[in-house]
Amino acid sequence: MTHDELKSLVPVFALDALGSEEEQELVAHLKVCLECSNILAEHRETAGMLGFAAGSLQAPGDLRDRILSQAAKTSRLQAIAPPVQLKSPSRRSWGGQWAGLAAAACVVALVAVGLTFLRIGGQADRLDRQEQVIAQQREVLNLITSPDSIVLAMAPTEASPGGEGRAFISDREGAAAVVVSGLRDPGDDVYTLWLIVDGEPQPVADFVPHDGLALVPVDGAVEPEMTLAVTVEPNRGNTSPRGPVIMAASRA
Amino acid sequence: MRRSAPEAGDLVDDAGLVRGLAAGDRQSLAALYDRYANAALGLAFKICGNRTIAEDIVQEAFLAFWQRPDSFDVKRGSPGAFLMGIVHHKAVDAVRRESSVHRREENFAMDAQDFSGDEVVEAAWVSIRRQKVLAALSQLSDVQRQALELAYLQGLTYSEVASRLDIPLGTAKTRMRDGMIRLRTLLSQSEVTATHDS
Repeated sequence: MTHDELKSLVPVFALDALGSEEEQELVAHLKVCLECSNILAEHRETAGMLGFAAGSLQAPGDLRDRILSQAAKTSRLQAIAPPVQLKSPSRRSWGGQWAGLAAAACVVALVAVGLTFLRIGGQADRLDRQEQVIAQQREVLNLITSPDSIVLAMAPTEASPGGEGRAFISDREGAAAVVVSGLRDPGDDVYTLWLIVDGEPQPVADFVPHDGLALVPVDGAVEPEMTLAVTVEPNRGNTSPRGPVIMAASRA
Repeated sequence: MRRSAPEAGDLVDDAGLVRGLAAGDRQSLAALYDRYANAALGLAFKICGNRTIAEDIVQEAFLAFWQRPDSFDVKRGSPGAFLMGIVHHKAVDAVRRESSVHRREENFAMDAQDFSGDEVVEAAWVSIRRQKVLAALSQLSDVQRQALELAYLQGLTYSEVASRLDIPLGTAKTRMRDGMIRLRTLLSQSEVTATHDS
């Protein structure tokens, strides 16, 4: 089907009224078409509102208890696992290049922060640590500017305190990095990046932004179906998430 | 007339409840349930015509929202409509798995005494939304309204709608598409969707 033909099916899809073959084709199209995805969001809202036309029916008292009881048994690990994907991953486009340049600017800013600290500190251990940080930042810069890397926007969740995030993934390098900007200081909390594999979150790193900026390297490949998510944690070193997801992206 | 008990989330807006869900707060889930469970059950029952299945669908829908609060984007709609969308999708799935409209109609007739509009006192926001949607539906053309009701409230595909109305497939699709576009405009004008339940 052409784009216009698929677009014409979006309102029908929002009503759950497509046959299975057309639905499959449209679902595949929606993964790569932002225009149709946006139209679908509007029609889904309308379709959901249509549900109120059905009228109400008194729910039995035990249904509430059953749901709350089941919710209590549901791990928040499961709850954070499914990602929200803002847009489909794609090979580096002009937009991706601009995202890369913006991220590179963030890295430069962070390197500047590191150098400033280096001059002020002057102690050997601090110097070693800063050299490590700068080396790490250079690795991330290489990754960001790698022509094979793909860029994913980290979709903010309802719990997001603001800020933006992008994930840069290079299959050739077998590595990835997340660059965030505009993120507020977490105070006594800490941000944590997680890699979610088969629904199981694995901690990548705890981080605190400098002037709203942070970059977090991911050592290892981020395969399709894996999800990157950032949470706000009450303390460092958590092996499973305790706080809410504020942004997430998936290659799925 | 059966009255509902006071609702736990009466004083918290929908956006606040979603923030609570994202934070893993079960009280927010309870409040969301108090607000929308009756409407959700009404929709599920309307489509599948079986009370037990309808309750299972409602349970699954609330738990799906609980497990995936981040699947809802507050900038793109209201949590009430989002929840009703989950219910609808699951109810249609259930009906198509059963694949028996005849059985559905039998079940509906059997349980019809439970399905009266005066049975529950709806939460104010549910009642307002229902009135707005009914008012908007009344402004559609007869053929658009008929197509939407068959598709959405009876869970038919558009090819089944075409068959039921004995009209070409393209005509059924056009009526549904035009009806949805018109409905969206009318609801936006009435600011039901624009307020996002805030």
